[in-house]
Amino acid sequence: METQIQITCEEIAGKANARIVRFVGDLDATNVDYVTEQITNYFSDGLVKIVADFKQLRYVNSTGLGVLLHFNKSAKERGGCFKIANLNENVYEIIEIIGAASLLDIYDELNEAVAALN
Amino acid sequence: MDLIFPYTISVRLPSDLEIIPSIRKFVSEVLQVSGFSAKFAFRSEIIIDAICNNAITHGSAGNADNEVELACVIHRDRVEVVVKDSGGSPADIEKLKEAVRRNRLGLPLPDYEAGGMGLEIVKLLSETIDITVDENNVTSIHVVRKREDA
Repeated sequence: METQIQITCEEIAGKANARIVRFVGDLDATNVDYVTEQITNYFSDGLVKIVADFKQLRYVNSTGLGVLLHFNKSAKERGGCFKIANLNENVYEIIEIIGAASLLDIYDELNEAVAALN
Repeated sequence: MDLIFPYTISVRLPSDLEIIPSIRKFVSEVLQVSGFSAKFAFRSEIIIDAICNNAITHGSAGNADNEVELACVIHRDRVEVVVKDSGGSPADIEKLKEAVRRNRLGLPLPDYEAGGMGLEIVKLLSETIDITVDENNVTSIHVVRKREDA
């Protein structure tokens, strides 16, 4: 069955090892393997500073939340970061309810997250 | 729309995770048509996702021929979600009961066992959650979520 998520990647001027990654759709158990493979490939290519744009990410379940925590940890272990911007209210609430808001690097706006890159 | 409450949506699902997104979105839309808020529908979607996921992953013994039954009883002021599976091992069932019993709130997230986070979210989003196992080893999870303004 076709995955319900799309991921696109965009360069950031002046930041060779950084990318904006846009998520469109739902992040859940049916597509975490695909998403994990994509993000892991970026890390392996030296793109260790990721700004995840969730503007068009409608839904995240507990499995998806688990991989976000994993990306955050993996990026830091490689000297990078995994910043999240533009979450919708429902997705943010789920992250907050489970106590992950303080563990993830969350920004209201995409430009704030990009500006926070070292 | 003049709906008569309560009414029930029930469906038998193949034991395949790929079916869950369509089902959870369907129920979410039905809830909104029934007068529940978009936030209530989203949270119910999370609940249905988590317990169906759990039933398929842990309650079907990896057998795609096993089915999972989902029933949503929609009242004017609340929704009851019942998910039944019949393939769980005794160890899986005990693990499930323990996960419902234990209060893991306040534990650091890395301490969650794989897959345990979904059930914790269900507990946080619902009024009650009960598990029963009948003599034929059919495991039933019953979750009640009330309308925010009820």
